[in-house]
Amino acid sequence: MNHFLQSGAPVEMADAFRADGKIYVVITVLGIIFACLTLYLVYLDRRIKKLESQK
Amino acid sequence: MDIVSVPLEIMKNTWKYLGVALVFYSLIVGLLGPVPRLVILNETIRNLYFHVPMWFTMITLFGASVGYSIGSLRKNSLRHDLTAAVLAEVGVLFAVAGLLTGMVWAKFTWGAFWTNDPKLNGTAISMLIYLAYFVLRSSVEDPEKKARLSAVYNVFAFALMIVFIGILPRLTESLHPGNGGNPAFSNYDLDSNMRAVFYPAVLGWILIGFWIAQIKTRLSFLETPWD
Repeated sequence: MNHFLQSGAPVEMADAFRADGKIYVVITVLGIIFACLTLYLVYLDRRIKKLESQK
Repeated sequence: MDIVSVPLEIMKNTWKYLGVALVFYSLIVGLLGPVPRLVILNETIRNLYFHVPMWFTMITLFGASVGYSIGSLRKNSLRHDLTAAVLAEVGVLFAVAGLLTGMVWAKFTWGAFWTNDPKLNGTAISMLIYLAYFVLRSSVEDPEKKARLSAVYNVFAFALMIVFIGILPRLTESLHPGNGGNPAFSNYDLDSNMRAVFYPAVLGWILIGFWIAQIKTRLSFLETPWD
């Protein structure tokens, strides 16, 4: 496995993308999606809690 | 809500907030943090933070499901049986997420969405075993009988899942890291930077999996006419 790493050939990574700062766009998008899903779970949790207290 | 129940409520839900915080952390540091430079894998190595926790969450949910199944047999409890079914259901949800993310990752590193690899086929068989659990449940009318039959089946399903996903792929040749002497996993497994993201991500997703299961269980309890 290590002969790949020892050959000295540069390994392609998203360095330019990171240098341009654009990776933050991706993080923001993922963060928004995850925040939406979390808020939806909180909303469901509260609605069910209301139903439970009625029973 | 009175002044005492608000902090109590927050404490009761701490594990949910912790799960969200951990996954949020893994989203940010998982994309920004340093990773080893490996050929073929390149930046896709970061999928480790998102693809692998799906499977850890699935196994934990399935394990909890078996726990409730055994509980339903011991206590003759229909509530335990329903909880076991919901936990298995959410486990399958995470398995689907794990399979789909794994297929995308495989396409760009192995060249195909699906290979007839023991790890992949073992997972597919396990999914069928779990789908049969739901078929079995829906085919028995009597709730007591349903609880007993499906609880016993669930124990077998879990044991078979461990064999198909955890044991058999390790005994044969496999492309999938961590199996059949493939060194890929141990190579980046040892990276302490990645561990600092991977383990929190696993714990975070497990907590979120249990949160989803808890919501669904409470909903099912409300829907069920207990007498």
